[in-house]
Amino acid sequence: MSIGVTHVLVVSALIFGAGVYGVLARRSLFGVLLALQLMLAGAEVALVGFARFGNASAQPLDGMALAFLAILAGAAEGVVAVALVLLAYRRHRTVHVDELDKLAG
Amino acid sequence: MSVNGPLFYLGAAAALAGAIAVVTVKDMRSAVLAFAGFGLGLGLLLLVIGADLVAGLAVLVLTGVVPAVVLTGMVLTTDPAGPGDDAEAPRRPMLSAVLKRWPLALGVAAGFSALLIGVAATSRGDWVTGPYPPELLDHGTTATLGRVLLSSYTLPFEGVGVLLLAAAVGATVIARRDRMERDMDRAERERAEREERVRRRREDRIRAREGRRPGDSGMAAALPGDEDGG
Repeated sequence: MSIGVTHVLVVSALIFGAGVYGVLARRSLFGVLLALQLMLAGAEVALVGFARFGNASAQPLDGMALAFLAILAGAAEGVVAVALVLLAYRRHRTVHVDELDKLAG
Repeated sequence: MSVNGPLFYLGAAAALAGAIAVVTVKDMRSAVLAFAGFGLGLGLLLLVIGADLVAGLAVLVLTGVVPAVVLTGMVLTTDPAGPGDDAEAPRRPMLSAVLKRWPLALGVAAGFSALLIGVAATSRGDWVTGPYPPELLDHGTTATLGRVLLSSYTLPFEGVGVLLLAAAVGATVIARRDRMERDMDRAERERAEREERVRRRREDRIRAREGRRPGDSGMAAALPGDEDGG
């Protein structure tokens, strides 16, 4: 059986699911950040899969271009997120999401 | 030319193993290393599919930029007052334990994955409208993707450039110690010094009183630094 779009989508869904698990289960903000990057990577895999196996009529590389831009946006997001974690650590002396509960009602 | 099956499965297995290690390993530094491994696996996967430029960028970002930035952040948030890395440290912020409510998280993640896989499996193949251009498989996608990015996607491409610049500048602004924080630190320091002075004065007074009681007035009060070590 040749590799098709379904294979790529299954891999993408599993990577995304691992990211969801990490966002919910990790205690460290850095772990949550890495899990968010995993979710983003899952979406990028799906984009590339659709570009490769999907609509190849006018612009065959639309999905890859979108994935390209999404990877760069994810890098920017990671940089800002680490800066925010540093700020939270300086203010509250912790990077654990359980202890950062000032906004909890 | 179709996709190389064994290499695809190898890349997918590496990426999935890396992803699972990232979210399950307890030591955060190992998780960052696993993330770099995940980036390599993902790069192989994308390369096998045929997206060579995206694969190169993914490897650069996911094995280079993100681990470097996260490791730097972890170094900066290690508690300097706590024990070092080699000591046995029960409360080190780096050691991130998985929460007790992991079964709920596992259920949500599995449900989400099952939903996505179900959608992919049950949807019709209407999106496949033509074969993939063979020249993209023979010569790679870099030239075509570059042309696409600089013709139909010029505005988003420039926007991402501005976004990266804004992120770099914004990160420095966010992480900088601002005036309010400096004032708070100074107030905290002054309060600690004041408390220390009060404590010392009280100890001196107690010591003087105890020294006077045996009748030998003055001798004990004249030696206040005997016990507190200066």
